[in-house]
Amino acid sequence: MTKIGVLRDIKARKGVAANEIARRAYLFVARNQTLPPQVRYQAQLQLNTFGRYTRPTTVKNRCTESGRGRGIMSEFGLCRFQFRLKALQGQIPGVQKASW
Amino acid sequence: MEIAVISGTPLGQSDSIVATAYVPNSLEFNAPNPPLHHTMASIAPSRLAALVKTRCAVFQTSYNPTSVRTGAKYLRARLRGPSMMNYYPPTLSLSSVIRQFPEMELVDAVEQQRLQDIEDRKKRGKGAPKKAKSKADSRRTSRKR
Repeated sequence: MTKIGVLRDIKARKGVAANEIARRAYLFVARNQTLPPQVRYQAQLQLNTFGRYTRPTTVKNRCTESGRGRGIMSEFGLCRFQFRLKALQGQIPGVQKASW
Repeated sequence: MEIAVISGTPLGQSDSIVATAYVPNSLEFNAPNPPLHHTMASIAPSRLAALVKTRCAVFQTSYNPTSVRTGAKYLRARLRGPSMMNYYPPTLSLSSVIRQFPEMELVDAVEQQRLQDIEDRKKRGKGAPKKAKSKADSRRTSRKR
């Protein structure tokens, strides 16, 4: 069963990918100081109409195995515990338990 | 005074300060190439601006001497959506397969059982309450605390 957090994250990723070009265009107009303030303000208003899950900051890398949101090792996309389990099973290439 | 001119120090300073500041470095007189910062001050700002302008023309960047925010960075940055979509590995679920191939008429036994259970509960009057059509119908407003 997939965690609701992962489903929400997938929703956010889809929303970001679908609206990215339009948002970039409005961002360009709104942040461009060479354009008249009226135009920039209108662009900013348009930016505010986009939904919550169209902003890239709402996307969070979660554990691809367990869906956990914290303690993620971004190189492997796994949380610390899943990383340990997989590493001990030898499923992560180049990773072995240190001992000295 | 000679020291001040060669070392590129602004002339507004008094001679005594310049002299005391550069006495330890007097060996620089014999150096064949003076350090770079000694020669930089002699280039006029207009010449430097022309250089930057030419550089922008050569490398096809926009000439922006006053550093006005043009919003170009939002157009220049790569699109992040495609790589974001690749984060989770693709998963295979029975319901998605059934939806994809409706002509095969596959049956999800677990889902059928769930729907059957809901029907049975409704028959016994134990089903979920109806959704409110308006704010006034909401049970939440009339709930006793």
